[in-house]
Amino acid sequence: MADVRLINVNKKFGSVVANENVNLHIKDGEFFTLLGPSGCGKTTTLRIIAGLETPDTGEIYIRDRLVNELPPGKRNIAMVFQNYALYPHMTVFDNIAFPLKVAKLPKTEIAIKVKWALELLRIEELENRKPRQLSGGQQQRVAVGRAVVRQPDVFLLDEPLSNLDALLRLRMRSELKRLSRDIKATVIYVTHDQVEAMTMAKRIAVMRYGKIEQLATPHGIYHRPRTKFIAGFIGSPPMNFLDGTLIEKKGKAYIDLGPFSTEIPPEAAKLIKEKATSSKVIFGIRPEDIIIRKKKMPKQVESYLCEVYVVEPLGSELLVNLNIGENIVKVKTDPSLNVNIGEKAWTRFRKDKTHVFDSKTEELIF
Amino acid sequence: MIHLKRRPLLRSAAFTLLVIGVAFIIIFPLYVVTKNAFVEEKEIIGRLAWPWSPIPQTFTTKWVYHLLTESKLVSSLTLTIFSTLLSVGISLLLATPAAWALVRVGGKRRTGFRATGFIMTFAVMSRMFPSITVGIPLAVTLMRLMLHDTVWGLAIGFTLFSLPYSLIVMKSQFETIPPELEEAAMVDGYSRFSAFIKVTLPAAAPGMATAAIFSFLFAWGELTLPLLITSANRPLSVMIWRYLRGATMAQGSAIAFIQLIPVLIFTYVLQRFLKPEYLAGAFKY
Repeated sequence: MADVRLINVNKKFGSVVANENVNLHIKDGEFFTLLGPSGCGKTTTLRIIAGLETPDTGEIYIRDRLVNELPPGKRNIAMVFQNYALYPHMTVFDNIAFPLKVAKLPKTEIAIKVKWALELLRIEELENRKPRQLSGGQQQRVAVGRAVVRQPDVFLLDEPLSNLDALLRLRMRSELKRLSRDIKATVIYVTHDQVEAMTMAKRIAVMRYGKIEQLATPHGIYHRPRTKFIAGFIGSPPMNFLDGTLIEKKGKAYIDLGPFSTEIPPEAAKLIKEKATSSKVIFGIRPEDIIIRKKKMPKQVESYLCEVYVVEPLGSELLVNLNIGENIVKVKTDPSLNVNIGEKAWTRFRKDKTHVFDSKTEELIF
Repeated sequence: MIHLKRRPLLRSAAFTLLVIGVAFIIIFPLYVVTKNAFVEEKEIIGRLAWPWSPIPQTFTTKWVYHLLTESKLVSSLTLTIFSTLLSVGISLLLATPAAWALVRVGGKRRTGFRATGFIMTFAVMSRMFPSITVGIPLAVTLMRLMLHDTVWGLAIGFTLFSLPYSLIVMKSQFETIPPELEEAAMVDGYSRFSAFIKVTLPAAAPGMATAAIFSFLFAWGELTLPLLITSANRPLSVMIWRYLRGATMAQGSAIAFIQLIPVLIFTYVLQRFLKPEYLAGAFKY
């Protein structure tokens, strides 16, 4: 196992910037995720680490060894491709044995290692089949088997679950996570699915337009998103955004959201005045951080009366859509709440869970 | 995985009938020629010819035997086999790497070489001229190169025509193989070249088989070109053409039969690569 470092990596395809000043240090044994919408450059970063693309500038180190000039086969990495790329003319056994055969290992050793991989992925009974005789989930396991069998320094996974159906994806997600811990692997995992990233990764790098927009733990990304884009990308449903203006009344600071204002701590107001480009801000709050009741709340609590736009029951929870000014705000609450379309309900915000973004740069202020 | 839907009985019966009909149209003339090669003359045009019967009433090997013992024809058969196989080989050897480069090298990963469209237009354009217009300058060039009337001369001539076909076939074949297949092999430790040889080429087998059959059939049956670029060493097609002018129907059938056999063998050997599901299961889109 090994750590991976990228220093000032830049890559352009023609005029399209795929990677701009990417700096990463992925630690030994870490499950690291590159997350972002399609075209954000995450796959390019992975392919640069693999050696399938050459960066325009920048350095790549795997286990303190500069690998820029090394071909993919000499980097001791394994990769699982989005479309699996199994060798169609070979059996499952030969597919998994392939990297070992290329490395010219003795036959008996190859047999032992392939058997280990087949058992690990619970596909022993498939060893003599050809890829075309396998289901999608089985093909995926073979692709993973081909990667684990050589016990590489680093695993590179490029959207490995995106071609599976929803149920299978759920199962493979937990299996992959467990597998990566069992073999103590350094894993670099590319996905556009925020749930995969949140559930599996130890750290996440969110990418957009070829740049790393935030690098943090899943907890950090969820609770302190650095930009409005990240806040809106992570979580389902994502964060609610409302346009607001900073106002001050009787020594207290508020954000005016249109129908009502919400009080913010004085240090937040100070930060807004120091950092923001104007007094116009974007107020953000996650659906689970809004409390909703049918009864009026106590006087000392700041609460607002809102109209219910629509109610979406999800079984374990209830999604209430509220009309606030011209915006629809989603609230996640307990399914026991009995509200209907058109009714009014009282809401309040969890004061420690509110976010304020700059309206121009869309960066987090508070 | 390929799941065949169960067809309704009527439709499946109609389909079977259609297949039988098409097979009949293809096989019937071949059968008649084969039959006529092994029967007495009188069964073809004589008193036994009518009413026509699909079952031979006489049997003789003298026509085929006579041809196979005639040294001129045997040497012509050898020349045809060698020049044809040679042109199939050269054509594949040139078209395969060229098509790979057109699809994969330079530019973007999936669209390939910048000038691909231009080069392909040229390849198609070369087929716009009949062989007679190319044959005459080619004959002159081959004479200068001392290759006129040789097996190499013939092979080069045939390749000139089969190469564009092979290039088009191989290009479409490589377009169906995702670059990830080679990349997986490269990550697994191969160089780009060995990844191409050991992984991409086997995956491209259906295309190579198609290109080979195309090239083979062209070279095997081509008449105009060999007429112009050979003088003493004539391939089989020219021999048949000349032979038929003075020959009987039975003799003609016999020589057609001899010409037919290598084609059937070659196509039969290669047809096992032509399975449409050959690549299935390797990739998910």
